Amino acid sequence: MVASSSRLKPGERGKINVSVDTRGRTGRISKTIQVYANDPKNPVTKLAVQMYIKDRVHLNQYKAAEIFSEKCRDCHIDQGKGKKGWDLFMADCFMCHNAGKNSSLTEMSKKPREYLLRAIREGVENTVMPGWGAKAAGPLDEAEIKSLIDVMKD
Amino acid sequence: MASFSYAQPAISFHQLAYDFAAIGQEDQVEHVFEFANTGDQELVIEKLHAS
Repeated sequence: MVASSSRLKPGERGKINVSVDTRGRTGRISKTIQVYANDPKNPVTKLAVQMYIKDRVHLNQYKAAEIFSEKCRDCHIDQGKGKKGWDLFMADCFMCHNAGKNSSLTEMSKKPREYLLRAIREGVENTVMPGWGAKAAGPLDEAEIKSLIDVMKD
Repeated sequence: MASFSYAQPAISFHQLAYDFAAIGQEDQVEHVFEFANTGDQELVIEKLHAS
């Protein structure tokens, strides 16, 4: 954020250059800039910029089972290998079950154990939740699935 | 009644807000706000504060 010049004669023009670092950011960003000047009528002028940064990885709508594909598994599956319980949840579940995205941990914890078991094993229809159990060609065994439910029903 | 008008600086902007709309993940975006001193005394920009 740079002003071209801090002193302007009557009639003179100036510029304020606003730059926003967007690295690693997605979603809506808004910034305001307050300009303090010796104008008695406008001692502070508020400027605003906003933008929406598209998520480059998830530009397309994916089907649930694609999460197990070569392209997705690096982030969504492989980090949870050999983990259980909370560690498994943080590695494989949290990136989708995060605040504002899909069901949160709090919401899921209110569901009955049986519902959660089925949802994790078989997936949830019409959502991006795939079936993680062996029958749905998912990567988790029964002990791992149960350990996730223990996290939610703790 | 006599009326008095004192010499004053006046800051005036062409626009106060800018929407970049939807953009990809560029490293950095930039926008230039232009303004002018439309008063009859020197205008001093004292400071800029971003939030």
